[in-house]
Amino acid sequence: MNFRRHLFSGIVGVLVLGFLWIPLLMTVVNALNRDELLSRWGGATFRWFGVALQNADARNGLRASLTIALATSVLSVVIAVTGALWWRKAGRRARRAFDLLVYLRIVLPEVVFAAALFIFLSRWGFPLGTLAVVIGHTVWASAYATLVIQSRVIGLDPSLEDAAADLGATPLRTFRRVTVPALVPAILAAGLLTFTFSFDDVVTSFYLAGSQVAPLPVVLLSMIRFRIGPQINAIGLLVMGITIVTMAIVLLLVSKTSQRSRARFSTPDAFQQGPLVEEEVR
Amino acid sequence: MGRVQVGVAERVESEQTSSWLAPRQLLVAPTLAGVILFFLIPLGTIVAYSFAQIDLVTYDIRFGWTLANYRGLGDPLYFHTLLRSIGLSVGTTVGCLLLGFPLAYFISRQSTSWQRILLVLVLVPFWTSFIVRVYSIETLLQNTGPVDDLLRALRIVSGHFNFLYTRGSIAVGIIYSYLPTMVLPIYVGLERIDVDVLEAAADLGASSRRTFLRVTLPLALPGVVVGCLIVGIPAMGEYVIPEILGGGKTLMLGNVITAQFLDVGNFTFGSSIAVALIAAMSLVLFARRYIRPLEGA
Amino acid sequence: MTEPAVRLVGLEKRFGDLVAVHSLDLEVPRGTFFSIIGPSGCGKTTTLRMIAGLETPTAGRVEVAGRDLSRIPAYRRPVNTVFQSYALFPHLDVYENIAFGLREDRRPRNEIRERVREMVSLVRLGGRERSRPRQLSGGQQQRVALARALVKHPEVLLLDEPLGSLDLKLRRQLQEELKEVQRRVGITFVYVTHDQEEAFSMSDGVAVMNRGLLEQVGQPEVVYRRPATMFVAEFVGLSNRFAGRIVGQSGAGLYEVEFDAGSRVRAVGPDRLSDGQAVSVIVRPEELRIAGPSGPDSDSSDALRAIVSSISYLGPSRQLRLEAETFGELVAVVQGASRGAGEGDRVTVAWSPDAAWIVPDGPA
Repeated sequence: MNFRRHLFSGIVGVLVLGFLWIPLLMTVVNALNRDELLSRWGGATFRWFGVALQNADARNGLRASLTIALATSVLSVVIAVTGALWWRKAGRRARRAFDLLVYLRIVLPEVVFAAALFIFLSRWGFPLGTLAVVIGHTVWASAYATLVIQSRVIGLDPSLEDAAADLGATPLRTFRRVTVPALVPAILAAGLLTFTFSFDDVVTSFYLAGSQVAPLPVVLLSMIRFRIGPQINAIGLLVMGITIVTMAIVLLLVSKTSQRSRARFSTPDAFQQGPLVEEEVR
Repeated sequence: MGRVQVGVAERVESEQTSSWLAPRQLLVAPTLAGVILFFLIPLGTIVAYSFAQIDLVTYDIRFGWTLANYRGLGDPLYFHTLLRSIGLSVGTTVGCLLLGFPLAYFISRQSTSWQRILLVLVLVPFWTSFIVRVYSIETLLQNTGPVDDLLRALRIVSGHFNFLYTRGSIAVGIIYSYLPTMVLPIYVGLERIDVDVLEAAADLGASSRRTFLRVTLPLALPGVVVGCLIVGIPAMGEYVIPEILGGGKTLMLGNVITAQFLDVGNFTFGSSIAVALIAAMSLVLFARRYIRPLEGA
Repeated sequence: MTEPAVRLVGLEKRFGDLVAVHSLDLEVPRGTFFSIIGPSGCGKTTTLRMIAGLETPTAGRVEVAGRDLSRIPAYRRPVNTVFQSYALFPHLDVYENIAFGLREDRRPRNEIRERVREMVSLVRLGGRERSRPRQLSGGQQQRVALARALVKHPEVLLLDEPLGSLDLKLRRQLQEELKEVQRRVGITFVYVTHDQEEAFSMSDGVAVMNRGLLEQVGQPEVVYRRPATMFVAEFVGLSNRFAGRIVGQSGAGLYEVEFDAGSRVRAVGPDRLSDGQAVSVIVRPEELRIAGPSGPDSDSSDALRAIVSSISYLGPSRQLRLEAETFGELVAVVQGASRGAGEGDRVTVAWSPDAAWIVPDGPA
């Protein structure tokens, strides 16, 4: 590692990295800490995992979150793929409007959106609950999914579809046999990304879950509020595991697709003209 | 029809839509339907509500064009919350910038394989559950926690640290959560800077400090701007972090809005606060238009 | 049946204000290797795509084997294309790429297997059926693209600058192979390229396009030696060019042309040129005969005195720049390496009247 030439930034950099990791490591440690008050190390134990697993709210929360995340990612990917394919052949002004809609969904503070959807659904008598949460998540998660798919769609050779048509494939079959297979890595990446975002989400879930359903982050929030203790760390560790594995797969898939579109990875221009860089704003 | 136009023909040909793919417009229907129905219209609803009045007993809504809700914002309590949110947003953005820029710079100057490793190290904390991360900060900063112990051991404080449930702890929480979001765009912007450009500057006699100030920094500016925007704007509307690290007192706009909507049920007032937040955000985005010329070519 | 393989009638394509192809009328004879050449942006690729059905004409129609294809979408036309970028499907191996079109036709498995095998051996890719496109070299990918398009036995095979991204040696080799395949298979090839030499070496017929217009159609030799317009003359090769006026006709197609300097030459040209008409006369560099000052032509009235001003060695030939009396600068190309004039030498330059061709464009 190149330290000598950039000593100042190196020191600060390493310190910052440490700052990023210490709380995490603490969570890991405390998940195994026998001492309930977490004021000192009391020896290792798996007890809290047991307590966590027996907590009905936590179990239901996990089930709810998994269901919601799955539905959200499927819907988001469908929206993203159709949108990106349309965008690909759209005129400049249409593209700009589309990109604006993607941008807005990402930039708008989640509280505002959640509140707005909350009012809207209440007004029209739509019940809060799993479906409402899925809708809420999908609206902004599909924006991220769109970014991922868009960046892959750009790299698609348009003559591939010409070739398919030339060889006798109808538009539908071309889509099935040529376009979709070419997009598969990006589709998987987008799906897993939105899955993680949905699984992890607090605000929208909080507003739209209603009284019957509580996704896991909402459960965690109330546990934290009511100071329920070290189980939180155990649950946190489990959740960490899930999201890390998922994101690792996403990273692998994205690095495979972005080998071809390195030039696309530009920030400010992208914000104005083309598709946006995949930003994780949470 | 001059030569120039003709040269364009081949390029235009390839950009043109393949005419055999006809009902293409349908493809955008899912996006459009979803966004219009569940994004734009609800936002419109909230704007409409902010001008309406609600009876808090019957929860009846009367739509008119009253500014009563906005006047409520002038109440010192809420106005201070607005200022505090903006202040925390600006402060944490600066904090993220001060901490994140050196890290991004450092990473961008490494070899490709080291860059990848370091990026993963930055991203992994980011990937773990948001709420767990914030909770871990709480555990860290609480009076029975290690930071407190350390500070007492070093005799920096005599009693307890009592840092938690203050603006400071919220700031730490926001900086902690949003740091990777600041690092990434800056890193991307820096990484694109050709080493050749820097060497050319050195060749022309610039010391490393001057190279940094006059070459690296301006080139990194676009990435910095992006980072500041995607930290600053969401930070203004943060809910979870003030909720946990602020001790449940309504310290930021996100908390106030949520209280109004979900506890008090005052939809109209809550809407006006939300609109105020949107306005603040739009101002920032609009101001960016004037920063753009500075970003340079 | 002597119906042309392709007939374009009044074909036109507009992109907004831009007219990419102007009212094109063209016939491609059956079983020939036919090329459309022209500079970038001249509309040749657009024309090809209209034949394939990948672009819809704004006017006119496309007929293939006598059938009007105007209402028929690309995926139902008896036409197949080899694309400039090859457009091989990256997620399929060579076998599946070639079989793609047959699968779309729902041919039985045995038939597919046999026809793919046949193609693979025709393009000499045996043993690579299971490879993915990214594992193949440029030349191999090109052959897969060719096989994939041919396997369906189309009426017409369209090729859009398929050799563009290959190096010179590979290009020449593939040119020969393409020509050979066309001869064997007998299918009409319509080949688009900006490389005049490439087109000439392979084609039975050539069409020259410029700015959406057809400038000339004919056999390569005719297009080269008897260009119809100045554009064609300059596009297909180097030429020495003089502006002048018709002053007389001494036989069928044989004219007398007078130049500003007062000198006259005999030249051949198209019929029905009138006296006084402004024309250009072109002489190809290889038609100039260079000889010493007392050489065989020195007394001929058509011979000019000149001084060699510079020589470029091109490998198998030499290019001489000459400063000639009354005609100014001339360019000559002489075969052979060592013998011949050196820089500064006085020489005579002559050419036969047959080699001077009149282009009725007039001075541009």
